[in-house]
Amino acid sequence: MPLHPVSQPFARGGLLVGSLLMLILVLVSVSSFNAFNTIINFIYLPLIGICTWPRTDKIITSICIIFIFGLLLDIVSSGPLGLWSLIFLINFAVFKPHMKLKPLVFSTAFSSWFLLLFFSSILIYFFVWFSIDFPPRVMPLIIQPAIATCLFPLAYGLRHLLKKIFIDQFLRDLI
Amino acid sequence: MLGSNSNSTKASNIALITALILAGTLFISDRGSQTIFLQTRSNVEAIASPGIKFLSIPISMLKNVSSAFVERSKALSENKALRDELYKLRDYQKESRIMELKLSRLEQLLNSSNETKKTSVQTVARSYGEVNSPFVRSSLIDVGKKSNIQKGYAVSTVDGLYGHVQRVGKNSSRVLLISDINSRISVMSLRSNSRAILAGNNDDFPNLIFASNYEGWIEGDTVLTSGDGGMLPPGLEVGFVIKEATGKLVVDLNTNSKTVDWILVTHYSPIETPISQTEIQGNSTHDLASILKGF
Repeated sequence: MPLHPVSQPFARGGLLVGSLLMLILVLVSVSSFNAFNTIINFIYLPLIGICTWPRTDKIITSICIIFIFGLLLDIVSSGPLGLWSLIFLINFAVFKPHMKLKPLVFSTAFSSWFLLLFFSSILIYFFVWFSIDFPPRVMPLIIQPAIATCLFPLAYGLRHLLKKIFIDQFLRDLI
Repeated sequence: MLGSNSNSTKASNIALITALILAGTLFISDRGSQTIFLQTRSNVEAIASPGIKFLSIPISMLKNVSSAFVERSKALSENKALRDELYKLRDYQKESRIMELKLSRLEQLLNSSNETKKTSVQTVARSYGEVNSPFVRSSLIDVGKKSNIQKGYAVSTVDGLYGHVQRVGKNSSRVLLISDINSRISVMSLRSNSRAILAGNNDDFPNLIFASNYEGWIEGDTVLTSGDGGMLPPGLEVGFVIKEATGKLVVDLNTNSKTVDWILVTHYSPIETPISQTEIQGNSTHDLASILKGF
């Protein structure tokens, strides 16, 4: 019984943080710039939001939010509708970030990020192949995850900041 | 989540499977064409564009820093090259004035108007959401229906053609880049006047296909829009021809490796399709019938 009243605001705050982080990452991911003759793209960035999805018992709400953000990314990146939703949901089902046994710490998040990135890259390769009818170039599938990996600490820091703003300090370390 | 027997876990499993099926169905039906929910897409883009614009501020600062660094490192050599070019251009300017005069006289003689006057209306806009993912190459610009932007308008930078408007929202538009796999534009060689289609391939070097005359294309040729088909204005610079080791002709785009920030949208109405003979006949029959009815 004492757990119930705690779990509600904890779940809500966690989902709010997860959603806000996803929204920011989705909107940032469509930006790009050209540095030293290489196009720097952030399209893999929203996967960090999936990797660091908060621990929550609101699984159906999480699924809906992730599905919507996938569609949003498809629209703002002008890709085929449903592609990123599919990638996000498959990652969500495989890695189950909401069911972590322990609260998320940076080292754990970073190591699981590599696993998720590798899995996502394979998924993206085959989905793009299916979408455009010929195998995509491998180089962007290496460069773009590398850029996202470089920005992982920044995104993790942003998540921490959002946690500080939106979650009560006694519950903050739980998600 | 998976493998437990509780009711909530079952419900969440069902929700997940439903969401996966829904996403999969959307993906399969939208694959290649991207024609589902076009209006919704435009509306969502219009809502999201201020957010994207705001969040791209730090990125554009990074962009400026990197381009300033590159420009400064090239400044000396560029300065010398520009001076040489300036001397050459002064001669060309003189020639151009003479040619312009000749042309206007010839036009007066032939009683025809200069076609370039048609394309004089341009709108300056900012590109802030360029996507160069493995699936698509497009960009968001901050002008839309309010600035009289229409689907199909050519979008260029100071270096050359960048793409064309694919979707128009209230205050934003989606530009399909010429390197996108769905982009097909008619081009010509400035040297030989040979025609071809520039087909995007999601790469920096789009292919030249259906060339009218393969001998008419050699490495280094300047590629311009031909205006064939009436969709894009003629004479916009696109890039230079490169011949690959396999013999395939590709184009090194002028906008490659350039920071695209400010762009120009050229207002160009496609040439209207003439009314077909049958349509005229149909209309005239109808008119005749109504006239007869009147009697």
